[in-house]
Amino acid sequence: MKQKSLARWLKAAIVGVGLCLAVVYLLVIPDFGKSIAAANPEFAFCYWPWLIFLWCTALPCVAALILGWTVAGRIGKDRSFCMENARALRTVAYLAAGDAAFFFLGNVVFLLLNMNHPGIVLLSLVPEFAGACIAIAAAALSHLVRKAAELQEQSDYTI
Amino acid sequence: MEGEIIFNIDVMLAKRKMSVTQLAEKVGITLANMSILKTGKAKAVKVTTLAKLCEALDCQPGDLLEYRKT
Repeated sequence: MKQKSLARWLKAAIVGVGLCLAVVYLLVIPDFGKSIAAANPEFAFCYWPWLIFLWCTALPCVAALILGWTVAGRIGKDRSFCMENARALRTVAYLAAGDAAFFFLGNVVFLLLNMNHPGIVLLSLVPEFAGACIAIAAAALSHLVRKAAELQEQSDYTI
Repeated sequence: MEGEIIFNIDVMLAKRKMSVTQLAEKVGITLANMSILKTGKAKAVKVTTLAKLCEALDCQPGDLLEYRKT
């Protein structure tokens, strides 16, 4: 697969993920929250705190997508192995890990405030685990890109 | 702290009355790479490149290379 073509496919995938995130955070979650609030009026007061908390967890995802877009752009310009890409991937790793930790802490805090259920806290471990896996994968990629960038620099400056 | 290796290409070019462009063409490297050599940004030099430089400038490696302490 040619580099420019790969970069275009990566950007298309990032746009796709962004659209999915928009649908989930702007449509699915608010609708689901409203249906839970309607079914359990005693928990209706939890709707807006939960919604704002979940929207906050979307911010690192958006930041990671923007960083991914810049990485795809550099891949298209034949700069796959550069320190900027290594730094961007390291930032994505921190964002993913931070988001997973924030989501877990938020769930625990809501549980302590009687705005959550232990079953929901357990269920939240699934997206938290996914976030941790993304963080580890991004950190590994960052390390590999950094090593490759160092090799590339040596090769570029070998006359 | 280690010093640096300087490529004294300008001195030999003046002695042989050759331009940088002519030297780059004879050695088979680009002007950009020649500039990297001259400005000391090169991280490694192939033995074959050094041999071609000596062939083109009719000199010894010691005439081109200088070790400078920093």
